[in-house]
Amino acid sequence: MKVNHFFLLICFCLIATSVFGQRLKPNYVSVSYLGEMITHPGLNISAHYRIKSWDKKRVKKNDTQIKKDRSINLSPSLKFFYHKRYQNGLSSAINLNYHSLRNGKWTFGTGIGVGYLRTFIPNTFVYNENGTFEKKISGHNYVSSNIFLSWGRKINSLSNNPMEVYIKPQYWIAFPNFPNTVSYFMFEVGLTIDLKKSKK
Amino acid sequence: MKIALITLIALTFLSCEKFETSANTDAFYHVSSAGFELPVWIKGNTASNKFVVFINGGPGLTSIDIASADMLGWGESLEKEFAMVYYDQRGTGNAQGAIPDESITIEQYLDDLEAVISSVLHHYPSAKIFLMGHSFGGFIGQSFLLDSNRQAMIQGWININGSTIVDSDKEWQFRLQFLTELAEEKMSEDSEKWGKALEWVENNDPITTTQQKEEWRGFIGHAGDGVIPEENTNLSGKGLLSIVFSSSYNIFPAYLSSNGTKVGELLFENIKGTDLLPELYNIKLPSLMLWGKYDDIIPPQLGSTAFDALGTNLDEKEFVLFEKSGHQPFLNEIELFESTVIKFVNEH
Repeated sequence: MKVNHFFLLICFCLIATSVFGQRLKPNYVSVSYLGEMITHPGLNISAHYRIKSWDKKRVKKNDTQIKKDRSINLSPSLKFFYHKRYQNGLSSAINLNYHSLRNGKWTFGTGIGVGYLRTFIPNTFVYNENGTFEKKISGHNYVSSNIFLSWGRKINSLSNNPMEVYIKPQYWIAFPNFPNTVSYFMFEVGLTIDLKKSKK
Repeated sequence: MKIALITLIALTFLSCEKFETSANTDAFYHVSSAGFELPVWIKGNTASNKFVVFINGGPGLTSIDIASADMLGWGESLEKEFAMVYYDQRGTGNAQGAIPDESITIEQYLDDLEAVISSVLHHYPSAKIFLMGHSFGGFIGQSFLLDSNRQAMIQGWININGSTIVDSDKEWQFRLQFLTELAEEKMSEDSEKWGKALEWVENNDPITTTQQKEEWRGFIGHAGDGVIPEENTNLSGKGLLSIVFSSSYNIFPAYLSSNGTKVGELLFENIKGTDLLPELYNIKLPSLMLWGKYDDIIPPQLGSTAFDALGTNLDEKEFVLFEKSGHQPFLNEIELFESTVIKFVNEH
């Protein structure tokens, strides 16, 4: 049975957004520049749902107190990138990530994700059996997975909606592909907005 | 979601290339052949109406990056005279899609090459097409030209150290001959070493076993640069950065993948034992064969035999031996290589 990959993509996005978006207001949302190999531009929009959080305090020898707020989050995202003359990509993914905030200022995160990647290959001429050509939009459907690290800093912490600026290098693989997978390096620079600042 | 999709489709459509006729054309596109996309780049002087399709070797190596960073320096020589057409072969470089292993065959590679050539003719209907194959690319080119309909698409054939026989005892006969002639030439430099080599040749005709092949390699040295040191391509730091960050290339499948190795294994298995020599009389095109004298991979003795076997009239074929070159005369003797190619293309 031939699977309509676009239909699958739409189902995946609908499920992701309805499960999280309609029933739960996210704790955070992010908007970021997504650069494939840094320089090929794209955009990423993510919502983050905190599924577990805890904090830990310790006092150093010089009486300095260190407080770490930690959380596990589930983050559906929609992203695209534009790589001139190679391919344009549209991806929907869900990431599971660990996030740590040190003394209300510096953040660190890491996580993994899985999703769907649809590529669009520019200027494709399809060679037909009768020797003629026609220009078509071509591309491929892949499962994508990614692993990432992130570093950030909280800004305007005292407001009702504090924000975090962050950088997030990530490594993607798309499969099935030849010989098995094709890799990508992505670099994200973005802003996360806290929608539900917890009362102290 | 919808907006993102529309934006991407718009970007895909808006990135149109200009297939202009000029002294400095830069047209990049993809050819979809049997369901998978191969990147094709037409660079240089399309006003000349002459297009040289470069078929790289390997198998499993790449071409688009060579053009991107002008690694061979052809941007200032060949591309000024005529248009060069570069493409990444199926399964290599930035060719795209989940290409099935079963399609990595010489037959499909020839179909792909036909699609690339046809695409050039689609954009430039009166183009005169030349094929220029190096090493395994020579094998692809000659296999392509054995089909008379395909040969009719081509104006001239340039074979650079191209293979004709793949992994058979017959191929090793030419290597034995290469070692004999090399030993005789080098005898005055090191009579002990090369005397032993000649003695070994006398006792090892024919070469059939793996041990014999390793012993032969022991006299010659490392493949590709045993006699003439291999020259590096003209890749500057700026060129490398350009490939990584500002070119059409995704470097992961091009350099950090096992795709080239796998393509090599699949193709070698597919064509193992093939001998094109008995069929070369079917090629009747103007032909230029360029060979490094010290090519220990595809020795010039095989090259000159292939030259004799061509069906081309004697006054339309030429064999040029590069006295200071190995497997890559375009890197060892750059000026001679470029002037010879330019002269041949301009004359036909």
